[in-house]
Amino acid sequence: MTETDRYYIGRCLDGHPDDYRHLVRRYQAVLLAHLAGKLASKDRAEDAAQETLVRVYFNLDKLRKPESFFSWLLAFADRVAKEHQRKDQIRRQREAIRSFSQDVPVPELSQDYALESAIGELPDDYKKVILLRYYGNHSCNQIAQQLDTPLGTVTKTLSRAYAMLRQSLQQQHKEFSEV
Amino acid sequence: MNCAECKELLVAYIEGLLDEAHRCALEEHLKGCRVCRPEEQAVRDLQMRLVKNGRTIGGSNLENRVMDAIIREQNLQLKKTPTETKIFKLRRILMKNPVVKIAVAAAVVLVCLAGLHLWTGTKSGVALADVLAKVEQVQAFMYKMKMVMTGAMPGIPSMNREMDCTITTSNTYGTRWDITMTDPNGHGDKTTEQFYVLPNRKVQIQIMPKQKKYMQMEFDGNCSTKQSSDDMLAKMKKQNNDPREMIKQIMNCKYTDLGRSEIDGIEVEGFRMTDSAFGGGAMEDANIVLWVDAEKWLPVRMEIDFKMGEQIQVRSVIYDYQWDISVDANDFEPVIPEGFTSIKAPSSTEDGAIEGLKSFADILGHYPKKLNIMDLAQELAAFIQEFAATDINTGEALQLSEKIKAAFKSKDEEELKKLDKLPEEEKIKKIMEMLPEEEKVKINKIMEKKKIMEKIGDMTRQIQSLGRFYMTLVQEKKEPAYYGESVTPADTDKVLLRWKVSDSEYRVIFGDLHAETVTPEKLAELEAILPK
Repeated sequence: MTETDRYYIGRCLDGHPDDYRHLVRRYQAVLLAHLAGKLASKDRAEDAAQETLVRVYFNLDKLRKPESFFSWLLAFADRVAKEHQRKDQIRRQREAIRSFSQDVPVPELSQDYALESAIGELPDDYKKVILLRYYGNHSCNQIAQQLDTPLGTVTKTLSRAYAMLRQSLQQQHKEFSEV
Repeated sequence: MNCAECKELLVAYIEGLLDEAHRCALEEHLKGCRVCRPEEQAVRDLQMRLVKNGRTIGGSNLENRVMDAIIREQNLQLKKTPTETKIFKLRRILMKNPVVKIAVAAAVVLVCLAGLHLWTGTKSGVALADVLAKVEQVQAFMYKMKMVMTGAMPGIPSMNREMDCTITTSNTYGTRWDITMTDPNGHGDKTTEQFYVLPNRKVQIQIMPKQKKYMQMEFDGNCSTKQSSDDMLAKMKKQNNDPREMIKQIMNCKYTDLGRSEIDGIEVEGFRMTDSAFGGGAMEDANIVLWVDAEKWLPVRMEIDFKMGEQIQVRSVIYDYQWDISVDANDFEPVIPEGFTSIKAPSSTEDGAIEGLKSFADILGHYPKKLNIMDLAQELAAFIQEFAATDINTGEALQLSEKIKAAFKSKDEEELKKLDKLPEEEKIKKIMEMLPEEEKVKINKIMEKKKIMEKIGDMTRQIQSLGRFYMTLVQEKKEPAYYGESVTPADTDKVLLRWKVSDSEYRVIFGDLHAETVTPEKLAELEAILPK
């Protein structure tokens, strides 16, 4: 698993689809965390992550800069998540009309939805660092390399992300108590 | 440290990213500050929460689900468009990199040459002479060789190659090599080859089952200088790691006695040789060790390590010697299966070198910078990488295939099947007819590129000839000089490559690739006008 993203992408394009496995392994947790915050359910996040990874595979040839595979993956995931949310909304509306008086089943939340949705709200640059650090198991040095920024910037971004996460979690907590 | 500074550094602190001085200062501050301690705890709590959530999510395994879905989707697409997918594997065609082939061939040649032309010293080993005398009495023997090549080259992320050989040598019949090459990058693909040197028939035959090809090389002619076929045979022996020749070589150059040791329960004596002139300049940091049975005075093991270029390391071991085996004439009878086609052998001749220089310049527009075989391969690799990256990329090739798909939609199934059965050239022609003009231009571009790549692929032999020729000149100390960095094909009268034939004669290949024999005085004149 020490080869670069670029290497595996090249291998896939050269007719070794099985090497995509390495990229899936590398990014699945990051992707799930990213999607869990948006979709509020572990199962749905898994479905969306799967769809994202499959779609990305069939679009690999359109990726101009293999170094930015990670950002590209998140962008795809956002699109998939939006589609899923829209479908969900329509489905819920239909169900609501059909079963008028009955309660709409609340989707099963993932383990720490509050945290996941707080991550989901972070601006992109901060989100990437948090995702790579805690879900992709990258060291700060590896993140610096992956995002092509100095280590100092990564540390600062991480610090700032922590502050934002704490604020967002406190806010959620407050709203929750008020309800 | 004040509270603001402390707060600033807390995350870096719990992530273990602070240097000693900052860490101590921060810990000191935390000890005494009631405001910052809960702050630290809050940051740690959040970190715990992130790590825990990361672990939960990391527990899901999407790998097999995703791979299955991809295979399903791929099968579906294959069924939908049977023709298009087969036709447009352009990227694969373009990326078949011939340089790997050249580099591997170079490594094999170098290993075979190890121990060649090392007439550096006059010191003659006494102990090794006994070994040689012993080996010369043996009628037939067998040994194994393992070669591992590791490293990278421009455009080729890593090129680990492994080669296993079993070599059988008989005084009566000749030498036979059974070679198995493994490419770990290609899912451990194995290729086998057989190689025969048959002195009675004055011929050398290489059989390549994978390519369904064979190569035959006669001993007569084909030499850099006028040589009889006997000389050629002697040379062939050396090039094939004949232990007798190897020992002679080691005896004739500087070596150190490594003293006694033990291999597989046998008491052995070791001899080490390092020589920078090894391998005609293509072998760097060469290190050769021969272990000899201290009782029977026969070789037990030989290790040959060297570097090619900056990044490629070759290690080879010769082992499992079996002396005085009985052999059969049939063991040395090459069987060329029906349908195998013959290919031209690389020849280390002046003509071969000229041919190599010409094809290189035809495609790259200039002469190689250096003639050392590894430099040649690397220059070519760099060119291919740049070439493959420009102009048409995969994205465009695939966009094209989308267009083709669209054009196919109007065709019926029967017609498509018929089209698919056509030879590639005609198939592409037919497809072209169905496309708008601008797409035709693009496809033509891709096809031209493909042709150039194929040409480069065909150049392997010429490049090998060129590299080998130059290597021979260096090894035979013929004072070769090469000026490819400044001389171009337009420089009719400038010396491109020269070497010494005798004390009164030099051979010169000029920029326009004509060759002449000149006197040393004339050569001095010719070289005086070259840029320093």
